[in-house]
Amino acid sequence: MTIGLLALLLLSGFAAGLFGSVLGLGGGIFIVPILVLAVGVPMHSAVATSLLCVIATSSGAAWKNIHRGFANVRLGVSLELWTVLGAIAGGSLAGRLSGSTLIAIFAAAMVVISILMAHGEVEIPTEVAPDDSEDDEPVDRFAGRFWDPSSHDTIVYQPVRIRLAMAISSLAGTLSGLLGIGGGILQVPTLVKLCGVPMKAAAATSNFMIGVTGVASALIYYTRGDFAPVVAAGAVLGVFGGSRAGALVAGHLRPALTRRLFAAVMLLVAAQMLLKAKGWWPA
Amino acid sequence: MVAGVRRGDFAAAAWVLRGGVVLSAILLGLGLADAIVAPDPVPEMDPGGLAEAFRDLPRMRTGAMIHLGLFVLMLTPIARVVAVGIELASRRETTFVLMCVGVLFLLGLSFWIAR
Repeated sequence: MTIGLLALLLLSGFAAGLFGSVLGLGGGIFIVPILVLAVGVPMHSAVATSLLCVIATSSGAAWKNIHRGFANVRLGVSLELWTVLGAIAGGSLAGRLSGSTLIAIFAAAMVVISILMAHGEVEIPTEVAPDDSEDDEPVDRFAGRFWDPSSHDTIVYQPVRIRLAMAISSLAGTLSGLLGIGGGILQVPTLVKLCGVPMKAAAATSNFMIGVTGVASALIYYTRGDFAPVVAAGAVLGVFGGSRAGALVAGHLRPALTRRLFAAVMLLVAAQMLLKAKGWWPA
Repeated sequence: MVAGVRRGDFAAAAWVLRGGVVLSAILLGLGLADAIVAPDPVPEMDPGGLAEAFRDLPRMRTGAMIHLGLFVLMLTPIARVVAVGIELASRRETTFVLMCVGVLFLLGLSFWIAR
């Protein structure tokens, strides 16, 4: 292993962690194209590496979110049962697909995510969510509360439509296992818009879940021999640093402009990934 | 009455996550440093295996430390599920304990499927 390659891996991981943290997406959507296009890592190994980065960012942030009471642990445990099930399906499915097919699917997902990113600003509720659920769960089972330092208030909420969230969680898990992305892009809007969970708690609960979800499919990739340990180690260490740096700079950026800028970059990268899938990208 | 998560709840799970992240980062950092200075080049794309990593670790073979770091990283969320399950069991929240057991069962299943 050369110092040049190590520097490239650390830098790739750092960039993915930084962008992922700034945009609240997790680093997976960035680390896969960087590894495939810039480092020349095979797609399945890039997805496996991305899953490890997702585990690293999730574990690194989740302990703080649990400590502060932002993560709704009971809701997370209930939903991760379904994300793990989906991740097993996604990881198994990925093993049956060729690298170029997986790259094409990833590029399509990037296009969808970039469009959502450009147009979709997630609403941030600060009120207690109304209980308009037809779900027959007891009202206090998944209830949450946390002290919000930005509003200097205790936020109390009652998540609703848990069964629908479980169904969507299995889809998020499948995407995670198939493409190595965290699944937060689907989980957070679901928790906020459908379940009435405040944004801060939704992001923390999603982050709490994606580590375990990532492990379910990472075990499949590991056992299948898709891991490139040296590449993964460099990228994971870079992501550790990048996500910390991202948390520091995120508050100083203009969110709407940043999202549109990254959406444009992601569309460009998606096009490059499609060229790679077709074999028209230099090896 | 709201039975939500309060600040300070699930402290053991939080410490498991923090410890796992720190330990894996140290192991990966040492492993990469070892790979840089090793006289024999370490193949970047060689997948290797977990059994091989444990076999090589006592001999301090280059690359084993990286495998161990990745193993600790993957073990961290699993240990978190166990820690959450234990705390929920101590509160006799049977439904959520069963969900934790279900998650652990599925993780075991994923390993079995891949074999």
